[in-house]
Amino acid sequence: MKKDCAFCQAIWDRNNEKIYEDDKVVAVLDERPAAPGHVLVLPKEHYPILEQVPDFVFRHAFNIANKISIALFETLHSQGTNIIVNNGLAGGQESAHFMINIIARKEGDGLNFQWTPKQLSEEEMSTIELQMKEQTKAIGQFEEEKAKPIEMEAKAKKISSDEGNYLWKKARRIP
Amino acid sequence: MPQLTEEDLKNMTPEQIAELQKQNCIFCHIVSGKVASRKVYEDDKVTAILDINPANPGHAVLLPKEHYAIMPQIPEDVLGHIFMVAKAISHACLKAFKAQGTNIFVANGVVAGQRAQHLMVHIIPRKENDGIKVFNVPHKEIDPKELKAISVVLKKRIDEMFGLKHDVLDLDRAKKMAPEQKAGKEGEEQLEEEAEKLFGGEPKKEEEKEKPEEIDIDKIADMFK
Repeated sequence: MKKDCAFCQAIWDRNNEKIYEDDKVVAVLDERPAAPGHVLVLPKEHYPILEQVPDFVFRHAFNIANKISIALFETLHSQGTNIIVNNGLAGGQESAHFMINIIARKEGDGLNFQWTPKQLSEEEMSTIELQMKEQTKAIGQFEEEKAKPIEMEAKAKKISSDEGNYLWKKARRIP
Repeated sequence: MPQLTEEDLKNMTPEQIAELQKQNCIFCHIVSGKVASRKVYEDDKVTAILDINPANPGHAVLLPKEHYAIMPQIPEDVLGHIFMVAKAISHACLKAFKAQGTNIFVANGVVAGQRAQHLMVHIIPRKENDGIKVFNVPHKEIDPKELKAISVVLKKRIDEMFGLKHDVLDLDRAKKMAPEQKAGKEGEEQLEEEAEKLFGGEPKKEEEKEKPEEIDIDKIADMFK
């Protein structure tokens, strides 16, 4: 938790309305939504950008996002959902806390996320392809959640002097 | 392939229709290699290609190898894998193009702007002042009552999905509860009390009739036809 992050404060504020909460992520409704039914999924830890979020947290967050997306279909009778991650200031991220936007869509809601395509020459595309391939070679190792160490209670066996104890019985027999 | 009439489509089983959709899906052909594309990443579950209509240079599209029309159809482990790869590709974009940010974008359903009947995850590298504004999420003012109503309904549904049982409550009824609400904190308490009455008490018989009509996920997936 970071003290000057508004989202961290909101997460740990117990009075705050949360529609979902577990040990890794929290889901809240956006107070100034793009459309009725705009949900934010936030990791509980403070990660400013996507690159800092561990793989297993990210994977978990998206599984929750998917469930929320299904819930939006079922409760608000929306006909579609958009899932948007804006990463980095250049990507349009508004606050220094990583989040996933889930927006319920209906026909004629006035939202449009369709980009205007850029025309690139074949050459440019080929260079991009090569550059990308160079970087994607390294993909394959994903960070898994480390199992927490199991705390074992130290139980030292005490030899009691009970009659029934085999060791004591044996000890007495020795002359 | 032979032309099919509507009559034929009606007589087909859902499995056959799914098979037909797969055969007609251009992205399934791209994944299998029948249609040429610029593949940038591939493993046993996903394929990443470069978008032919990019929003920005380096715009990649991540496709699951299986044919899924929309996200709710994807099993949890595949979905998790898709997005872990999406994250890795986003990271690759930052390195390859010295981008300052990325957008990860998923459209579920025609209304949301999905054009092909194969789910895909867009990963778009971004630079400052590149002139793309469509991904900036707009903010609108909303009636707090409506927000509260949505929150109540959604929370119940999500709790239900995770195994906590409540009575079914739909949005219209939650809204009906809202107008009686008084302003300020008292009002909120009142709404919560009412909600508690609805959920805490014994289930009434009338409520069973008021179940919201069930949304069929397959229907949304079939809207592409």
